[in-house]
Formats: sequence, structure tokens, C-alpha cells
Amino acid sequence: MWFNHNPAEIRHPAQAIGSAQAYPVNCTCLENGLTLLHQYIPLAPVVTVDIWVNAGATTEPETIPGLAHVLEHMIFKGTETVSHQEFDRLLERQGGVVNAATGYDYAHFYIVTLADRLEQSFVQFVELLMHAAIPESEFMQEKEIIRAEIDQAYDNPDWVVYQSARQLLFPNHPYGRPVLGLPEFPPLLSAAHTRAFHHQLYRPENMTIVLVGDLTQEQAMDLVYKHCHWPYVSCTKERLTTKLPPVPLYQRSHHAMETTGISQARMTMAWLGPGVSVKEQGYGFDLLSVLLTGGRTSRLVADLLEQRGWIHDIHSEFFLQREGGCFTLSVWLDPDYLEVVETVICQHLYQLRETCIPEEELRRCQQLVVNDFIFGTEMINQLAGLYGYYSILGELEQAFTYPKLIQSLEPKNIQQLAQRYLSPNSYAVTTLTPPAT
Amino acid sequence: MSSSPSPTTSVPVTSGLLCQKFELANGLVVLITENQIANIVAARIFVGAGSIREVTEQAGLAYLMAATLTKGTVRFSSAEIAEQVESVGASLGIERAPDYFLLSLKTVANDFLDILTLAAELLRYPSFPEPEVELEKKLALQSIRSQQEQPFTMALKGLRQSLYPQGHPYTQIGPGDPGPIAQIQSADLHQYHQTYFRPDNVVISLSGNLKAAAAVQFCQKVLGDWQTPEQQLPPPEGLEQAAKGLLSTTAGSNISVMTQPTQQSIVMLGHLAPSVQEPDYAALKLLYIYLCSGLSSRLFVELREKQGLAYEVSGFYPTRLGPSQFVVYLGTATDNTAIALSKLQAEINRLRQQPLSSEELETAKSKLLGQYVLGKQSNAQLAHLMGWYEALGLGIHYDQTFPNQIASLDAERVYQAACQHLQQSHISLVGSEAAVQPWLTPS
Repeated sequence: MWFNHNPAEIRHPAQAIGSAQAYPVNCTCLENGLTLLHQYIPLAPVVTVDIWVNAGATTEPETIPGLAHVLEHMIFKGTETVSHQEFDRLLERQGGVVNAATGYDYAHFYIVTLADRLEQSFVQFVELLMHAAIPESEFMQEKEIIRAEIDQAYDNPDWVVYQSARQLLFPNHPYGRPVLGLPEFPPLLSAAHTRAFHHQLYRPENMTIVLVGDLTQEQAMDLVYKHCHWPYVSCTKERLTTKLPPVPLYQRSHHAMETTGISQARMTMAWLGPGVSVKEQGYGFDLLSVLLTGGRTSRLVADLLEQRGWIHDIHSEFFLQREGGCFTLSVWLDPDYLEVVETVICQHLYQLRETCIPEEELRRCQQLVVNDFIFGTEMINQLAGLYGYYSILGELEQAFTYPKLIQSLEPKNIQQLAQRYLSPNSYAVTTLTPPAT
Repeated sequence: MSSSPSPTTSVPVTSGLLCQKFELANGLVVLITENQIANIVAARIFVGAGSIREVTEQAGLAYLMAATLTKGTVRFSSAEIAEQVESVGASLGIERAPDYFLLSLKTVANDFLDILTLAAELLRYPSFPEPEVELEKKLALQSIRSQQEQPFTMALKGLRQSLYPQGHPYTQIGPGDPGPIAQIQSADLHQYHQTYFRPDNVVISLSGNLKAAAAVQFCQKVLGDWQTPEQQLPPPEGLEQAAKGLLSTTAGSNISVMTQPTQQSIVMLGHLAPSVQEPDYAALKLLYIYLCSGLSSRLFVELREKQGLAYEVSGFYPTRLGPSQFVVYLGTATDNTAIALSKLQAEINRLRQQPLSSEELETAKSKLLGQYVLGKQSNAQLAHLMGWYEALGLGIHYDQTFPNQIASLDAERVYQAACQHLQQSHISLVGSEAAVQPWLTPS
């Protein structure tokens, strides 16, 4: 038997997850170490399979940055028994879609397809993932495509300024470099190294498989039982790299860039936030993000855009990461306003640290964050992504209790978060401007 | 007590869900898909207004309308409207598309009626306050300037200017051109609003955790007393102007070249293509799927997998009331610009040289039909699709007609459509000076 006999069934309150309220999530750990999450949702005759692997950019050897992303591409190049064209044709002929993404803390691969035709696609999908052949000839050609992907990113000024701010914030950590890889391929990048990386990390105990949609628990178990009984390999938890955890900046760290071909300036400011295991804090940043830039009533939009008219747009984001989150504020504006806008933003942060936010404002933000969560988990692929992400970060429970956690925040929690993490004096800031005339 | 309203027609949309159509006495159409699976309601309110109903001199009017509709009504200020929406965590979006104007709402079920009431206020009594109009004009002009930052947008702009006569509504990207936008005043917005925002030009499509009878009664309550003006709804002026040849056609150049200091070149090929009302619409949709959809598509396999010419290679064939565009494109390294262009051209030519094999045809059909089912998963998708069909004048039964049309296509029919519509290619290139040099010098 590959299964534990009593799968841990996580039941959560009816209002916890909007679209999934009536359907329990089943969580099982197989004997080979693979984590299986399943939820039956029969809204449409569709299923998603989302496989998460603890093999993001942070697991790369320091000498081969970009390797995790290269492997993501090579996974789709076929195995000894299944050519990737065969798989693409089979899946897409049903209307199905396949895609993958690499992040700092994960790589994940997913398909969405018609429920009654899942099995054959599933078999080939997991075969590709576990037994990628990574042939030399395909490798050389795929490098060209990855080169094109990187070129495309560097043509995007928003991406360039964001990556630069990250680099300032995480100067000695993989979180500071692009997941895509650097503009020049490292000399050590080879098919052989990619195969070794795959062999080392794509193991059942390092993976979570999520099945959501019009598929019963029995069908899900059956599918995984039949096709995912890869051997357990006792794996020393030793990492490929040893690195120091990210540390907060002790002063303002600024990088100014210029580029032709743009008409407006960009500014991205970044702060180090809590890691995923710091209880009850990461999600607080989702609330801070909404408080500052979520909608016309938010503080920075109301002040800088609607009232003063100094900026064209503003956006903030918190990336929950295993070893330390990344909170960013990104602004699009006329170059003349860069300095004064940065000052005003810092004044707002100062105010957040000095005074508790009014109850009413907190309630509004809570409602926005919770509804955003409910709206953002309506589709089965969104739910699968949510479960997989938190599972691979080792905090699955947060995925189920998230709305409750948000609702339980109090004004003083928000103030403490701002005091602890959002310094108006120490942060990373990158500006990108058109060349001065 | 009014009796329960009864639907005029209905159509099954997915896994046991039914879309029902109701009509209010003033001509307003309400579509409802009851779906209890999540405690959410999504609404799509379509108004028969959009770029096609602008005159050339006022291009961008509908864009500005979308930007200012939530900025004040006779009863509420901009801040009060934002507060009403955001305090219940609802989402409210407004956009203008080429063929229609759209309000999108999403709420948890309990808040829905409050937000629908607000939406009715926005639709009926916008005030377009002068300072808000000026702010949005400023942002629109900025948005036009920033288009040059996006190579893909520039390429598309060049292509559309080559495909359509000057001033055609389908040439607009974002707010359009700065000239007309700068001239628009609050009074113009009021005028446009009075002309097109009328109950017989509105379709409200709802999907989610609600009861049809109660929802229709509520629509009757907040929108039932909206009077239909006596004068007839004018036809889409923008399209009419073009159809009557009132717009000056460009010099007839079918190539557009722009230089941008980018790493990659964007290579784009476009063709004027059938509107949704034309008989070849389904055939062209099938050809689009065959060429452009997914990892097994012809362009992906040939140009990315076999030749390694691009990371992104794709295309689009949007569904339009007027003449649409069938476009294929890729982003490629500077040195590969010429070869990428000739390979794209070869793929288009191939479709005119030989019919698809029966295997290719069947695969494309099956792919398209499967995708169609996958496209009906969320309340927003269901509300959008059904409301859109109704607003385009196709009716909700088009949800069944379209798959049937696809299923009944044969290779010869598709081949004839390719021969007819993919004959005249227009080229658009954006890249560094070195990349596009060969096309800059007049031959």
C-alpha cells in the first residue's frame, strides 16, 4: 500500500473558501513521501492537476543561476517513452491546456482538461515530469528560446525596475536575482547539470500533487495510486547551497537607471517582510497592501493620484517567500515628481507606525482582502494553485484559515507590522527614467 | 403583488446550468444563470456603445466615458461611490470595447442587490464632473504617450493603421489619438450618454448564487422606470462611416515599420477577416486555433520548436461586429527578423496552397470544442459569454449554434475561406534600427 489508511481530512468552516465551501479537501501523504491534495468540485466537467516541486531558484547551485528555470523548459522535451509532441497533441486535442512556472521557492506544472478524458493525459504528464530525458540536442535549441524569453523580459521596463529593486533588497541571496536567469548563460549550464538537478530534486517527498475538479476522491486516489508510485529515495535533506538568510537593510539603498524608449518614470521601493513560518504576519501584509494602494479609497491612491495628481499609477504587492517576504510599492509618474512622491510615501509609512488605523478603515480593507481571496479562488485551477503553493511552503493550514486570519487582525497588529518591517528610512529603491535632455 | 416573471427563452450552458432570458417592458434584457456552487454573484452589464458608436472627430469618447462613469452621479460624489463599492469588498470595473461598453461587477451574494442598485445609478445618472473629466483626460494622454514603451502595442498600432482606413474605430488602441481626446468636454459625455444609454440598448447578464425570479423583480424595481427615448437608436456611426467609404483610405501601403531600441523584434502579419455575422467566421476561428492555439499548434511547433525562432509566437482573431483582423506574430532576436518574417508568410501561404488534412481538421475542431467547454468555469465567464452573445445581437442560443457550426466545417470550406481571406497580408515590424533597416529604405 502506498497510502496511509486514514487520510487526514481537513474540514474547514463553510465560509472559508468561497467556491469550495461545500466540498472538503482531502490531504494524504503517500508512503513514498508524495503529498496528495484533492477536492471534488463538479461545477464544470473539468479537472486540474497541479504538481508543485520544492525546486525553485533558491535550490540552484550558486554557480548556475537560472538552472531551475531551464529545467522547467526541459521537462517538456520528452522522455524515453513519451515524446512531448505526443503529449501536447493528446492533451490539447481535448481542449486541455498545460503550463508551468518557476519561482524562488518552487517550480510547478499544471494541466486543465475535460474530466472524462483525464487519465491518459495524466499518465503522460507525470511521466514527463519524473523521467525527463533532457537530451543534448534539444537542450542547445531550447537555450535559444530561453534567451528569447530573457530578452523579452529585459525589453519590459516594469520588469527591469522591479528586478533591480529586488537586487538591492537581497544583495546576497537568490531572491535578489531574476528567476529567469541572467542575461548571459553561466558557463556551467549544461544538459548534464540539468539532469543532475532534476534527479536530485524531482522526488516524491519533495512534491505535492493537487487534483481539483469534477473527480471524486476515489477516482483521484485511484489515479495517483496507479501512476505515482515512484520509489521513495531516502534523501538527506542537505541543500545544494548554503546561504545566509536575508537581512533587512540598515539604510536607504538607491539605484538610478536610465533608458531610452520610455516616456514616464518608474520607481519601485522594496522592504523585507516576514518569512512564511513567522506566524500571523505574512498575511497582514496583504492587508497593508490594500490599505496603501487597493482601490480609490486607499491611502496612496487617494492622496497621490486622485487628490494631488502627481502620479499616473501605483501598485503594491507582497510576495510571501519561505525565508523572508518581499513587499514592493511601484509607481509610474513624471520624472519631475520622483523625489517628492518618495517623500510623501515615506510620510504615509511614518504615519502608519505612529498611529493606529481607524477601525472603519481596517474593516473595509479586511472585506476587500477576504473578497479578493474568495473571487480569486473561484476557479479550480486557482484553488489548486493556492493549495499547492502553501503546501510547498509547508504552511498548508494557512490556505484554509486565510479569511479568518485576515478577519482577526486588529489595528495594533497593523501598526506593529509597520513598525517592525516598513521603515521610512531603510529600504531599497530603484528609479528608471528617460535620459535627461 | 406582481406575478413571477417568466423567461422568454432559455439555453443550457454547462453541467446542468440554465441561462434564462427575461425582457422588461422598457426593452431591457436580463439574463440569469442560477449557480449555487459558490456564494458569489458576477454581473456583466453590456451597453450598445463603444468605439463603433463614436464619430471619428470624437474618437476616444467612449474610453473617457468608461474612465469617468464612476466619478460622480447626481446623488453621489466620486469618493462616495468608491466608498460604497470598496466598503463591501465588491469589484466594479468599467471598460469600453470596440463593439460595446461594459460594467463588470462581482460581489459575495449578500451584497449583490446593493451594488446592482449603485450600478443602476451609474448607468442612469452620471454627472461627469468637470475636474474628474480633466484628470482622466490627463491620464489618458499619458497612457497614449506610454504606448511607445510597449513594442507589441506599437506593432499592433502600425498593423491596424495599415489594415483599416484612417479614423476607423478598430484602429484605436487604448484611448486612441491625443487630438480628439484633448477636445472632449463634459457636455460631449452627457450627449453620448443620452444617445446610447437607454434601456433597449442594455443587456444585464447575471450568474451566481441568486434566484432568477427575485433577481428579475429587483431589476424591474431599479431599472423598470427607465424610459426609452422616442427617437430611434442610431446605427453604429463609426462602422457606417467606414462602410460608406467616408473615411479616407491610407496610401495603400501594406507595411508598417517602426524603430525601437529593443532586444527583440516584433514581427506581425495581419489580414482583414470576417465579422461574426459573416458565413466564414467559424472557418477562420478554426484556422486561428490550428495555427496559434497551444503547444501543439502549427506556429508553435514549426517556428518555436523546430526552428527556435521565438519564445512567444501566437496570434489572434477577435470576434467583431465589423471587419475583424486575423493576426499572427512573434518576437525574435534582431538577427532573425528577416527569416522570421518569411517563415510566418510561408505558414500563411501554406493555408492557401493546400487544404488541411482530415487529421489536422479533426484535431483543430476537437481542440476548439474542448476549449469552449473549459471557457465556462467561473460565474464571470458564464455571465460574460451569454451577455456578450445577446449584446452582439446573436442571442443566447448562439452558445449552441457556434459549436455546431464548427463541428460541421469540412476541409474544403476551410480551404476556400483561407484562400479568400488570407490573400492580402499586411506586415508590421518593430525593432532596433539594425533589425528593421532592410525595410526602412524604399525599394
